[in-house]
Amino acid sequence: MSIYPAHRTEGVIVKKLKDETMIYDLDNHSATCLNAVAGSVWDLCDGAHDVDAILEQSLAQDMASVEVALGQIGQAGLLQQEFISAGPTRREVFGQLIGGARVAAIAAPSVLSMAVPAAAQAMSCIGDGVFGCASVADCCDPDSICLGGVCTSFPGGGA
Amino acid sequence: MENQTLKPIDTTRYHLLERWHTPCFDNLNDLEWHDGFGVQSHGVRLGVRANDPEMFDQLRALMPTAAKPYDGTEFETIMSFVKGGKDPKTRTRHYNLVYQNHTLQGRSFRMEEALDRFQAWVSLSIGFMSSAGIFIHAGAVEWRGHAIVLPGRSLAGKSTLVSELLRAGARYLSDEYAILDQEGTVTPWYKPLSMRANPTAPQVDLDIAEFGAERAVSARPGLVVLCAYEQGAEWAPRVMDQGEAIMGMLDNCVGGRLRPAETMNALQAHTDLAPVICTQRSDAAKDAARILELLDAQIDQSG
Repeated sequence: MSIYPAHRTEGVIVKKLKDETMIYDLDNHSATCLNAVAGSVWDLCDGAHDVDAILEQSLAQDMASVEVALGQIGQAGLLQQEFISAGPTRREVFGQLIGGARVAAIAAPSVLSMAVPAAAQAMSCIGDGVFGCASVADCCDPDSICLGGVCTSFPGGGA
Repeated sequence: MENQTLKPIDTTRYHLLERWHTPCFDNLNDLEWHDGFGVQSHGVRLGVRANDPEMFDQLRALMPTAAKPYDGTEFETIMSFVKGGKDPKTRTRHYNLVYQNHTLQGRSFRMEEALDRFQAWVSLSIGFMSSAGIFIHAGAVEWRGHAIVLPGRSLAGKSTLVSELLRAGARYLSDEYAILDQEGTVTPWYKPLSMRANPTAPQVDLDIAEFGAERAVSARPGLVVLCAYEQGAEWAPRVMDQGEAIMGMLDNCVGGRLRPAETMNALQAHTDLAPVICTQRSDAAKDAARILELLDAQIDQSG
């Protein structure tokens, strides 16, 4: 049975960069960066190309790379339906590429995602005894912990 | 805020815009509030009130430099300050409390810490809600018409590096926010340099004149340096791919979630023109010289 993957067209902002594709997911406020290989696979995920056509027309060099790219794009929540691959993992594909020493590493698909921080995460840190932290990362003192919203350090110890 | 007289506003009349209003804010309104004043900065209208009118001079002094008086009654944000202290009758000690809209954002027995939180939330609220630019938590200076942007969270060493860049002749934009327009141009968020003697020490504000520096009005995209201070670390810059660079800057954006399309446009526009490097660093004076050298080469190369 042929698979015709389709990427999301709603709830995403897509930016084409020189060699990469940036996608902002408005539903969960995450940003994803696809390298050239993964980006070329993304471009062909229009529901009209099956995986064979994607392999033929994208920058992916073999079916394993296509499947890894689709798996990662799907994992980032950017496909309309999750892509389940029976193929090798990204690590295995990368190992083949490196081991084979025949293809530059750039030929491997790469999909990086991050959660876009909430506003408060980009503010100055909080001193000991002051309420306002959401996590230990908000406290100035690296030995403090965020306890009940208050940055708290313990004598002689720390977190 | 400089040389501005702020008119008190009628606290019984001012209210949050519907978008930001919550039932919890009505509960907070039930407390006793005095006076209040309004300001407008970067397109954000911000109201201030307190339970003690003696607080207003201190709170006014914490408004952003660019803030202008605002006499209206509708606000995107209302900051409420509850002065604590000892109650002589019951000998109970009360916290100083800071609310942004209905949310408690600061609580401390120490007044200076509560005021720090108040000021931080004033800045953050404006940065988050501003429609006048994309606020990136970053140090920023201008050099030969181009911006050097140093994104980073607290304790990344932004202010120290900014101070060394100023000593080397760069002009000041901010040590807290770089504000990008849709073309990627950087505009300033003026404030004194906030320095810490060590990670746990309180911030001390220093006038940029102490570094012999002047303010810049705006700067074209020049160089972005994503770096973190680490004792003994080697300066080893790596040029980042544009996508990775945008993600690094997005990680320091204040209003990225509220205005993602504008944020992505501004970051793309900025990184189309400005290379982004990442490195660890340990010696601010040497690193400042290296950064200026890199930008000089970049400017000379691009003609």
